[in-house]
Amino acid sequence: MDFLASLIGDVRLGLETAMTPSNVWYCFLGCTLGMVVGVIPGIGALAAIALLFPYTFYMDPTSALIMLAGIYYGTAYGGSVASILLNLPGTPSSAVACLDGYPMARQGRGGIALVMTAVASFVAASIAIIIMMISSPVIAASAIQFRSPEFFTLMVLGLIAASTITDGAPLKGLAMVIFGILLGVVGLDMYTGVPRMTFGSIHLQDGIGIVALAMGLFGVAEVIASVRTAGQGEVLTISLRSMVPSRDDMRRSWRPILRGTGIGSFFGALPGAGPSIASFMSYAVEKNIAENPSRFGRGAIEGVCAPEAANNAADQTAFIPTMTLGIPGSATMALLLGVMIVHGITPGPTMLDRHPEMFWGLVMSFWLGNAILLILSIPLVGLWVRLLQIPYQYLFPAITMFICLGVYSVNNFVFDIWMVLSIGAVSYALRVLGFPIAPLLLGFVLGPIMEEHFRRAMIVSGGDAMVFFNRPISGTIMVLTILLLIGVSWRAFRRSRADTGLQSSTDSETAA
Amino acid sequence: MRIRAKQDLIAGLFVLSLGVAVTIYSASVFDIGTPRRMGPGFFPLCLGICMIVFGLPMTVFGARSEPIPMQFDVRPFVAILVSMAIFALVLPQFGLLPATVLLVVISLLAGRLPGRIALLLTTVGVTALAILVFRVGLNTQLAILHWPL
Repeated sequence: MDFLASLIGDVRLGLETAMTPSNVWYCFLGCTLGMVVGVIPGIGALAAIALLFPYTFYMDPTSALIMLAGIYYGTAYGGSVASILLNLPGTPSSAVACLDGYPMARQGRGGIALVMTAVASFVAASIAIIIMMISSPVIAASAIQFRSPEFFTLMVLGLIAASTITDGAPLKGLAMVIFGILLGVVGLDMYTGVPRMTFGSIHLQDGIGIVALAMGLFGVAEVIASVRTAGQGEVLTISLRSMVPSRDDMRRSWRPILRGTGIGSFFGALPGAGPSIASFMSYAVEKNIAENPSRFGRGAIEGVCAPEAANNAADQTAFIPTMTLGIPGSATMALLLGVMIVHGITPGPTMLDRHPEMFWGLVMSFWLGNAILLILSIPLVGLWVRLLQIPYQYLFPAITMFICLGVYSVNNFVFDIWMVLSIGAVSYALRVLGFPIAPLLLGFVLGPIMEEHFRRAMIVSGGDAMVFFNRPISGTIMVLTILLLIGVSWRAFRRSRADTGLQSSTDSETAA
Repeated sequence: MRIRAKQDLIAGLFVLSLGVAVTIYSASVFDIGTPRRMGPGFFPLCLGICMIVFGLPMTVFGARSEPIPMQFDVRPFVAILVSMAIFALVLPQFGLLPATVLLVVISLLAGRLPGRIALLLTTVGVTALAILVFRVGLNTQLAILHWPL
């Protein structure tokens, strides 16, 4: 009963925070922008959050977080619109929706696919939010006894999982994590004040700004990569009349939605898995248990609902490790973590105690945001279809302008524009070489925190590295990490023996 | 542009050389300290060694792999980066308006060129947006037009 009482108190606090007029406005703004960005192929959630990041410096941190989070889960709704009507995923996690969504649209059932997607997304997100509300305080409470060794090993595990599980080339992912941590080292050393890796530049003494890095990695490089590919495909039109799902559609859908939610909630909370894996996984599950698997790929409604439920559930539960442990599982979460750090808030077990209004306000804003998105996506579907028809060639000059001026407006330094430019060039070259980019940002955000925990743990232990193995929790995490590394290298080894030629081509696909 | 090359070999050599450079740089320029009292170079040194450890097998396996086609879009790469560079050069000297116009026109060279009217509309639209958002909306300290002479 105690737990329930405190939960009700927290919910009330969250509602009070989330329902202030300004926060409702920022939530609406974030969701709408996310929807727009998700619909338009060629700009992802990461690029959008990076672009808007500088403007949140003037805002209250809770409002900033509410808005940027809205962009994040808003893209999941928008992304499926592009998948279904254009056969071109607006976001990676909605790629699966192409498989059955586009055939449905070709059969004139695109409207139904969109409505069911929106409903599935809403139901899944709602369940995932409840899971988050119940589990976060429990996780945070059990993590309150964590000290530096635990945090350090947990971050090592998180980074290794995030960079190796999804990708075909684990070594490339790991190398990018280290590269990211290395970029995080640039600046004054926090213990001694010695400038590191600044090469004599005064501008680099404060370190590389997260805005410049994120914009270079996901803005500039994405624009360069999208110019050639964007704007292909024919948009299928739909009318409002064809949007009412039949009783049969409903009957077929509700179980897949619940299964998708379960799969998504689980994979969303794990580092490295996330919404893309969750949506593929739930599609595979539905196809496996279907009475007639041959319907899949030809417009089966289960093949649209389940993965869309899964990726929206995963989007929400991804906040659990980020908020309660301070360990982001994906690049987007790392960026949101960066937003909090810039505003002087350190996410982790103590955050729920120290900034309850922020945590619960954010969680409650998820309800509001998902309701807004449900309303935005169904009646306004015509508008989104029209957005799909804007040629990309008019968009990328605007994106480039927002990148340059956005990063300039943070400090009024032209140096920062050169910084973004260089990071963009390097990041594009890394993509060409098949390196995944997301682990780099993860490493960059976690790097300085990791170094601090590492040094503190070593000082306390008197320079004995066994401190990471001796303590029960960090020891267990280290064992898990080693098992993970063995598993990943075994898989990579077997694959490289099976097909030396094929492996490299899948690497470049996952990097794209 | 499509290049056929041993992608993994190049990637491995990149990681390896970066690792060697970081290791040597951290060990020679910074104080390493001891595990108990780490100097500023200790952590970067560990990172450099990690990169060598990851880069070595990448290079070895990469050398044995088959060359694969890699897509490098030279035109958008050059156009976008040059447009940003010009913007960075022009902005402090001549102001927001000329910098944005140049940025839009040069970056448009990245893709298929639009018709004259579309070009004009895009330029005017993006420039107006830049002035509205940054000068009027956010009140960034920027001259719209500035003549240094």
